[in-house]
Amino acid sequence: MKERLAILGDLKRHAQLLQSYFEALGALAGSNAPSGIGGAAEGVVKSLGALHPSIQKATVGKLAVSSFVGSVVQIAVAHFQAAALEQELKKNAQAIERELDLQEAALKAVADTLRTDLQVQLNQRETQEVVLPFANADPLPATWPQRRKDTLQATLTVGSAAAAADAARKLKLSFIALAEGRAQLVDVPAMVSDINDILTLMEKVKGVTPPAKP
Amino acid sequence: MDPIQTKQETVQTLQEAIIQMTSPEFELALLGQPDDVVLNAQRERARAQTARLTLENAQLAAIRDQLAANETALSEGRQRVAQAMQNLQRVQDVLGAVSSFVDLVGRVVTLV
Repeated sequence: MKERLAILGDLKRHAQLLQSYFEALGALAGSNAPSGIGGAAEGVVKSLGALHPSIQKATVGKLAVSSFVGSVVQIAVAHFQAAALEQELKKNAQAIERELDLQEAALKAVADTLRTDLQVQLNQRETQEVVLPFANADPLPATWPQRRKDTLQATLTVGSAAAAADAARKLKLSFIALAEGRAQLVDVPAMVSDINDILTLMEKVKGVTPPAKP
Repeated sequence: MDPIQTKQETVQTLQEAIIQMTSPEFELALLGQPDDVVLNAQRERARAQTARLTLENAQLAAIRDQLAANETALSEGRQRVAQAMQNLQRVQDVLGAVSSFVDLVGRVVTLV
């Protein structure tokens, strides 16, 4: 399972870079943006570009991330009062849209792999360790409550990967809306919070390893 | 339908079938069934898993024509599997639908 999720290290780095970019964007939107912020944003975009090929070429289990990548969404950058923000978006909005799409694609691949393989393992554990002992006329083993709890916890984690993919999709839509002037600049911190949520969910996914059978 | 979409939907149907056929609900439905039914269920689970992994691994370019040629049959097969999965208690219906669907997948990729 851990080999199949080897991509998560790159994905986490990718999400951290996106977080840094949105923080720079928030600073550019302010009237007193420090002079170096534009350069910092450019540096982040370059780092994202360097990481892009390895994620796009990766497979998660048998699934190619590239098979989940969507079509390019052309962004018509709006006019912003903060000239530095408008300049940055005109320069890099399209590139960031591709990076957000890649993040969503990779998380979809992770979610799909986890869903089937982990769910099958969970089903078999739940049947053998929870349901059949309960259906049996014999007294329940002392370990039964803990096994049931472990199974429920693992079931929640399978859902986390799908939730992370959905959060990535919403983040991409929010960014496009921001760049086109359809979302408020005050929404930028919410986007950063979305990325934090994704990172948290990814940590939960990475930590999942079904306990060894006694 | 785009062959990419046909492949993805076929894989998804196989994934869902495998999940349902390993579920506690299906296992409970198998309790009390004759030995040959239980063995057949195990066999169809294994066939579905083989079909899923083989199809996932297949290069789209190599199976595009077969996907297009079998698109209608695969679509009908997906519907039949989805319908059977709504009532796992009807074990023979589940096994029949999955077996037929795996046979269809075998027209697209070589199953060993």
